[in-house]
Amino acid sequence: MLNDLQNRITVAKVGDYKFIRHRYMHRLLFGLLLFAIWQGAVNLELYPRYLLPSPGDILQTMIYGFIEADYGLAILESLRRVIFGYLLAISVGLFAGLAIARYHFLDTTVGASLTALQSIPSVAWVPLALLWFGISEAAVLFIVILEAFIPCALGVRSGVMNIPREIIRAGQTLGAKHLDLYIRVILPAIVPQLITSLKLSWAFAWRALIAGELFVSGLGIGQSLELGRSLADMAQVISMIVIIAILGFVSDNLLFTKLEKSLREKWGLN
Amino acid sequence: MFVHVNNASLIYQGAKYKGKYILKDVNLDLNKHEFTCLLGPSGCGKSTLLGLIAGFVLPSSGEILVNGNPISRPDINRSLVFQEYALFPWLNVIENVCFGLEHKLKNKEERCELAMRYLKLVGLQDHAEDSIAQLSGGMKQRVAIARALVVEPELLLMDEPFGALDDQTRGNMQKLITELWLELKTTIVFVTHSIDEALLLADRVIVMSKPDTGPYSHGEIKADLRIEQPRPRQLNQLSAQRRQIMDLLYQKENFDAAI
Repeated sequence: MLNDLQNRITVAKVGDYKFIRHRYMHRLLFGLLLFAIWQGAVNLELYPRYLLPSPGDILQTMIYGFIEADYGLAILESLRRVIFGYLLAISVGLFAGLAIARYHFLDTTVGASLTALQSIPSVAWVPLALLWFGISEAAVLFIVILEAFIPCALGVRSGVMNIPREIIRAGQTLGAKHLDLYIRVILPAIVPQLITSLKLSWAFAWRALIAGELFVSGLGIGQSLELGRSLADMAQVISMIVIIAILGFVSDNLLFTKLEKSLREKWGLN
Repeated sequence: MFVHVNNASLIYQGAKYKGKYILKDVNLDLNKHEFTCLLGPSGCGKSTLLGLIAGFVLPSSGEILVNGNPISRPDINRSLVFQEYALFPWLNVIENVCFGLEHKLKNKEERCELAMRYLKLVGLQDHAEDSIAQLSGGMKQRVAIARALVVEPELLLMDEPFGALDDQTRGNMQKLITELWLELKTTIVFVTHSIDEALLLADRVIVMSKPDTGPYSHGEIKADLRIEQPRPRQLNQLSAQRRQIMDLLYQKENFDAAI
């Protein structure tokens, strides 16, 4: 028992390097295992090949899709759409959140409705958007903005409400008031919370985008998915799902999570 | 009179204990360049009185004048030092100190120069570029004091500023604030619940208490004592005043029973 404990302490002391190397090794092995099971299922021919393509088929489809077909363009179109919608959504969300935090009657009315709105999945808005805006880009943007502004607004609201009272008072006794107080105290004070909200909004925007694009013609990841379905091209369907996963993972991990962590440390949270 | 609290009352605004007085008919006059301590047990309204002078809350009745002007909101002429420091973590040490100078000095170099002078006064000249998260509690409070003093306020309000510090740091900070006051002669109102701290620091000790413990009781001023001993002071020279305050704060019979 004691020996075991001692061993564990020594391992921990060897340093983070070994620990991190282990973590990446584990991830790699787990991934390889999944691919092996997948390939095994294909080899056993449990399902017809057109319903269950092999990892190699997917790779081939991807290479073909990027070189010969319009995968690259579809991704760029989707990114353009989601970034535009996202930027609009977070601008609206930021000001809505600040207003709700500032005025109590807005909190009891608008704030409460936002919480209710948040429980509606984005795909439920698609029929409404199609009837209002037609089968158009505007319909997709509408869904993206509606989905993405809510977490931003609610996050900003709770961020402002959780600023320690003394921080605001310190700003006031040092001469900051009105707009100046917002720019020099309130906004910087909520930066860590704001990053968390922006991350959440991005995830919502991304989900709403794919839901919207499924029903709208034109280039885009959602349309490529839908095209794959109508042509019964399972390799394309899975390729698109993989692309969505990679883009989501990259934006979440590389962009937001690290920034969030370092800011929280600096602001003395955690 | 520099600060004139005239019959100020504050009524509790929440739904519970509606109509309860927190402070009732408080009268207090403070002179310029004086170091005043508001001393009393928790719940006696001393921090509330400080909040009224700062302008965070307005009195329900009566008035508070500073330099003859009624107070309506917080103002840069009355800066504050809080128990929990309330530094801005997104700014480094010198940027925190510069915060209040933004509208006073247009030139950034002048601001930094003045801030540096005050950082030197509190002994932090070597930590100007440090981030707030890496400072100890005592250092944070030094930054907060420099930040409040650099704007050269008419009145420095301190709300239990050393309450979160360990004993040794607390002793050092008491020495520091005495030195700063001797040099700058800023008018200071200092809230504390420590009798010894009040005796070591103040020209005047305003003793406050809460006469009974019921939910509808309110704080009041019990006594206004002048401490004449020259600084730096030793606690053993102050035992007579200490005894006097103890008698005021604890009912006489309880106190005798305790010893």
